Amino acid sequence: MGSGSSGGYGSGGNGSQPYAPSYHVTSDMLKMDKKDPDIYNPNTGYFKNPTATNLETAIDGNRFVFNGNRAEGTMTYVLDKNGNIIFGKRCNPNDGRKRAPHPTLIGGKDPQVQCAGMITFRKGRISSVDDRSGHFRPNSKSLEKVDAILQNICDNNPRLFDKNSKWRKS
Amino acid sequence: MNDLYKEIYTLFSRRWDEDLTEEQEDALDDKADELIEEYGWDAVYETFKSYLTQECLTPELSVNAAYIFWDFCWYNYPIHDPYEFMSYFYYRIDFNTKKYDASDILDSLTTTVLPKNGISAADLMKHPYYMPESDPEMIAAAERWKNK
Repeated sequence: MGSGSSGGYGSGGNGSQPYAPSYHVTSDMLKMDKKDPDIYNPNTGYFKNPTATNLETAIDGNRFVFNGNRAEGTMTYVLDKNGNIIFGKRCNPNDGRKRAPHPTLIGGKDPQVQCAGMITFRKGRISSVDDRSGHFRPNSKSLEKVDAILQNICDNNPRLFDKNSKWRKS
Repeated sequence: MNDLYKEIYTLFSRRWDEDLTEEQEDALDDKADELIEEYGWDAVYETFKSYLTQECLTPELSVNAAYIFWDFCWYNYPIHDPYEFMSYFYYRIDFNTKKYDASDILDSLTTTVLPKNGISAADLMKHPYYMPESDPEMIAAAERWKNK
């Protein structure tokens, strides 16, 4: 269920949506989330993940920092409609036994993104991103927008990226 | 203590977040890669597990080892017993991720190691709400560690 489809890119692998400038949460995931008040409040929609962090504000010298430490591991990210890459932990603050899915990086009743997936940090440096979001299922073509933003950051400071990452090699 | 154990002990006997230059980090990465070239991954993995279970007996030490394991990208190599491996960390922190795993490194490792080794239940694309802490296989494997 993309918010509009433009020709040329059909549904991708892994059940992704047709290419669109932005994506809503897929109807099956929204239906499921609405059953869980720790994820989706009938009045306010998805809660806002308190760890949601704008990637560019997480830069500290030659590393990305998160939660007071250098960023490590794999986290959820979205490319919002304003072109910001927002990332955060999967842990759900409402219930530690649950997780915070991609839509919570934006929050509200109808969060929309240009792309979403997982971002991987190693030693405070970005090593990879993908388009793996079960909630938004963006078309792989949308990942190019994320790549372009990251390449721009890398061009300004390559040390923010893993030495083996594609941005640093290009 | 054989030579490989000593090498792994040395590589992991530091804080994961110590302040190193990129050149110093590269030297550690090179050393980790050289171990695999010299001894083979299977030997390195089994020796790392021995190190983990003999030396990392507290939540803090086990999570520290998880970070360094992540930084060496050793999750890219085959792990034939993914639940046994990952459950050791959860056993040591008693599944208290809020207290001991503020950056979700164990979640990252689990959702990487398990799918790479054939366990689709931890594939976040298929199961966005997957949680190691509530995975019955993980809980059972941690219980086995507890009873050893």
